[in-house]
Amino acid sequence: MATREAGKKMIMLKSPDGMEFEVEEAVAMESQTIRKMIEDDCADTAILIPNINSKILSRVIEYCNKHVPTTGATGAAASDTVAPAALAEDLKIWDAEFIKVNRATRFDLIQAASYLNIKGLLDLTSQTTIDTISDNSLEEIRSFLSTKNDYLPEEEQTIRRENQWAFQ
Amino acid sequence: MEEKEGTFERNTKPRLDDHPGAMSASLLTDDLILEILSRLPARSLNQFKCVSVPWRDLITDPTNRRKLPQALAGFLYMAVSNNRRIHHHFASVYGAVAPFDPALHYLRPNKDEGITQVDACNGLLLYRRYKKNKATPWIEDACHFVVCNPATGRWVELPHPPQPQEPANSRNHTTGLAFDPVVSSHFHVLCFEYNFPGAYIKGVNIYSSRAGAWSRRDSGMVEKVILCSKCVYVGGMPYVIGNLKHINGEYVLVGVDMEGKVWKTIRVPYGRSFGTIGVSQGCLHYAIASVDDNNKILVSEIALWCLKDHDSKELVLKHTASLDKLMSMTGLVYQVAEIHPDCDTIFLVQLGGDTLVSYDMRHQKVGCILNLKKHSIHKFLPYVPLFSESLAGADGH
Repeated sequence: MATREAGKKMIMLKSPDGMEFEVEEAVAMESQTIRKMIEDDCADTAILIPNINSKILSRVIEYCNKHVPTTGATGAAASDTVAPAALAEDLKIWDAEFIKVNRATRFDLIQAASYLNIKGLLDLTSQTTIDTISDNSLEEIRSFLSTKNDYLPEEEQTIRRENQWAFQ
Repeated sequence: MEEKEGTFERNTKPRLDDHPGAMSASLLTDDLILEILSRLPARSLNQFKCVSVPWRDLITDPTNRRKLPQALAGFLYMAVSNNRRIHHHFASVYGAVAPFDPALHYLRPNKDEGITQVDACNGLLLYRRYKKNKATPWIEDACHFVVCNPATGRWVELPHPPQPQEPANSRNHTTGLAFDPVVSSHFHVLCFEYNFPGAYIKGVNIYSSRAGAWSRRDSGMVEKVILCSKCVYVGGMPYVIGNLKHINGEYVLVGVDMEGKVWKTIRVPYGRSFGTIGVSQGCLHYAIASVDDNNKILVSEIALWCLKDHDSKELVLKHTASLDKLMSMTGLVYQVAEIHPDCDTIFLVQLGGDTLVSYDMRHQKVGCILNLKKHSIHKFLPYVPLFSESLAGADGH
C-alpha cells in the first residue's frame, strides 16, 4: 500500500478483479459518483467500483490524475509559470494520446466514464467515437458497427430519399 | 470484463433484438449509444437512420428523440386569401408530412383574434396575437406575444411590452426570439425600438422568461443604424442586419447581448436589403447576390458567407453559385429566402411565384422544389422540431 502523503487524504478504490488503487481524494472526486459517496460518508474504507476491471480503472485514474485541478500536487501542471492556454493545449495533446486505444477499450472507457460520471472523459470518448464514424459512407458505418442493412429495398429507397440532404 | 479486441457483438437487449441482424456496440447500453448520438449534428444523425432498421427506430423513438438533435422539418409561412384573411401554412422539406397543424387554433381561442408568425428559434415559435379590428382589419391593435412549442403544444403568453408601440408601425418592429435548449429552457424575446422619424435603432426591449418581465436598454452603438432584416440568434447573441445610411450607406451585422449592454457591428460584404442571414451548422451565415468588378449586382450569382466564430470581425466567403441554369430553365428570377440549418444549402424563392427551390451550394445543384400556397408572404420561418417538454413559464397546453 502506498504511503500517505502529508496533508493529502487518500481514498482506496477496488476493482471487481481484486486490484486496489490508492488515489488522492481530489483525484477520485473527479468522478461525481465517487464524490457523492465521499460526501455522503459512504467511503470510510475502500470503495468497490463494480463493472470496471483493473485495466480500465487504472486508465480512468490516469485520466483523473491528469485532469484534477492544478491546486493538487500534479507536478509541472501546478507551476505558476505555465499559462492557462498552454496548459489547455497540453491537456488536449495528452487527451489525444490517451484516447489512442482500440474500439473495445474505448467503449469500456465510455461505460466507465458514464458510471463514474466523469464528464470530461465521457465527452472525450464519445466525441472520439463520433469523429471516427461521422462522414463515413453508410457501408463503412455498417461495417464499423458490424451491423447489416436490414431495410427492404423499397423501405431503403424511402428513407434514403427523405434523408438525401444529409449525404450531400 | 474481458477486453474484446475491436469487435461489436450482437446486441442482446430485447428491443433491438426484435429486428434480426440488430447489432450494436456490445458494451454499450442504449443510454450510452444515445449519449454518443446526442453529440452528432442533425445531419449525421439523419445518415445514421439509413444504417439499419433498429438504428432508425432508436433515433426516431419518441422518448429518445427528446435527447437528440432534430433536422429541418420545413418552413412556416403565411398567405393572404382574397378576402384579406391571413392563413398559416407549412412547407415540408424532403417529403415529410407537416408535423403539426400550422393554424395553431389553440393559440387563439377567441374568434376576434388573429395571430401572425414573427420568428422561430430552435424549435420554439414566436407569434403576435392581436384583436381584429373589424372596420380596418389590416390594422393590428392590442397585440400580445405568444411563444409556443408546436411539437409539445405548450405555449406561454408574454406580458405587454413596456412602451406602447405605434399602432401603424407595430407590424414593422423587428422582433426576435432567442432560445437554446442546450443552454437553458428559458428564452428571451427582443423587440427593437426605432426612432421616429429617422427609423434608426433607438434601443431594445428584452423579455426574459426567467425574470418574467421586459426591460429596456438604449442602443449602445454610436452609429445611427437603420434595421433592415429579421433577427437571428446564434452563439448566445441575436443578430440583425442594419444600414449605416447616415454615414456611408454600408450594411453591417448588428449583434447585441442578452442584457442589451454589449452592442457590436461587423461590416458585411455587398450588403443590400435583400440579403438574408440565418444559422447553419452552428454559425451565422449570410447569403446575398454577388456584385461584379463594377459593383453591379449579379442577380444570378449567389455568395454564401459565414461568421466562423463569434469573436471574429469578418465574414468568410464559403461558396458562390451561379443560378444561370436554373433561371434559364424556368425563366424566373430568384432571391435567397432561407439557409438550411445543417448544410450549405440555400432556399430560393421565385419572385412573384409560388415555389421554394433548394440549392446545394457545395455541389452546385438544385434539390427539392416546395410548392407554396398562392399569394404567399415571402417570409419563411425554418422549423426544427424540439421534442423536449420544457418550456419555461408555459401555462398553456
